[in-house]
Amino acid sequence: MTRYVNGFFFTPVALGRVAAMRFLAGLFVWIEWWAYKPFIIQHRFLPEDLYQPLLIGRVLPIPAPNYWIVTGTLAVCLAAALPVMFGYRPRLFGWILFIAYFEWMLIYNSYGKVDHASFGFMVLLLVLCMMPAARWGDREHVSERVGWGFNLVQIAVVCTYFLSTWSKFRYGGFDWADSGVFTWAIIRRGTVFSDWMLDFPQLLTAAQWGMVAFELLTPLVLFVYPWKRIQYAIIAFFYAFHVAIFAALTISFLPHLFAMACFLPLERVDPKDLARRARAKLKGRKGSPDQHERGGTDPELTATG
Amino acid sequence: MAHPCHTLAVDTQYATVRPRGRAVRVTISLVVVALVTATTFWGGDDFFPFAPFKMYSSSMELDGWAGSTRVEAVNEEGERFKLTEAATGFRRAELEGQKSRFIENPALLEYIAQAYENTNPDKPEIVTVEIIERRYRLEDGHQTGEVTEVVEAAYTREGADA
Repeated sequence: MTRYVNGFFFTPVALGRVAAMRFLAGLFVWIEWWAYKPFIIQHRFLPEDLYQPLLIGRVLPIPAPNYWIVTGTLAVCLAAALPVMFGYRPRLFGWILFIAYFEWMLIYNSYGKVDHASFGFMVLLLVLCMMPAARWGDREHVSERVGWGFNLVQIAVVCTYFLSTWSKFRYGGFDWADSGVFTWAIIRRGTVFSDWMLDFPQLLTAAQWGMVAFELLTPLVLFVYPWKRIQYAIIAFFYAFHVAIFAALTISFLPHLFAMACFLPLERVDPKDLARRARAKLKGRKGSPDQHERGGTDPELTATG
Repeated sequence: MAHPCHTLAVDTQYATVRPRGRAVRVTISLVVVALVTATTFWGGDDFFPFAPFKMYSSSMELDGWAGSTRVEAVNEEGERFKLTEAATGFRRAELEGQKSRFIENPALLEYIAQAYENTNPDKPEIVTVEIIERRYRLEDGHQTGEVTEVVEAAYTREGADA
């Protein structure tokens, strides 16, 4: 039992995953401002009177966003994301990115609507600040500290699902799943993939029950950590779920999807090695040189020879 | 940041966490879970980033009206058009979040006109802003086809004859 609990929080993770997650985190920051346009960046044009500061915005001396604050915050986010992505002074720029991104989230959420897709991503940016420098494909160095950090992100990702059902019970009542909420959602933002469902309200009710069951079961993905294959299969299911939601309602949950990637064994991805192998393949030499080069980075081989 | 274990060299093959570090870290994890769980049940959006995950958490009656809100504007030249998110930078969800404010004091819609003019400085100015809700009648979850529109708040600039 103690061993299981210890493993739950501190299963060591290879540093290669840190490099991969830094790249993905920075990449998302570059994608988000553009993908979410006109929203967020357009907040620079909003009069101050529409600003509804959150608690943290009232407690900390954070000024109401204006044209230059919004533009400047984005510029700092984008500038800091680049060195983080490529592992240059990743902690220093990680902190700058985290702080700037947090301000960006305040600009995002301080006008009457708080979204909840970014919780896991914000935790990811925070834990990445505390992780050591890392290079892609490093499976040689493993760390329990890194394991703990990603575990916290994973917990945040699961909370996003699990607690959202409790929010549904709180705000919508226990009969949320029997209500017409999906009908309403599709009327508001349906697509060709979902509009036809309006004719089948029983199907939508079933989907609502399925949603509640799915969200309440999500913590399982944390508890099955000793069985990686099961865990990866569940994560694959999560991604498929979001593809379906996006097709039906164009709700993307993009930051959440990026944070969730830390469940995956991304330390196995080594772009340099892939490029080397691709080059070797192009030259038609698949045999010994390729094998030989790979030996340098493969921990299993170095360990024995 | 002053974790006791940071004195360990980073470049070891296997970086462990010592017992005290473990206790600190497990505590941090539990506090994060506790905070976000607490605001799920008792808090509100105000406690962001520890806010309830409440997207589509409201219930909708199977027999009743499902509403869809939009903002329309009339400009100086008398043209009526929909004020989209792209035109103002103010999202529909944000408008709905502050809707009670606008209904209570429609003069606040002036700020939406300002947002539009800041975003589109070259276009004719707006004289009227209206929040309109289109309501679809549902019976047993089916749309009956019955639709009504209600102007929930309207504002016209002083001196304008719209």
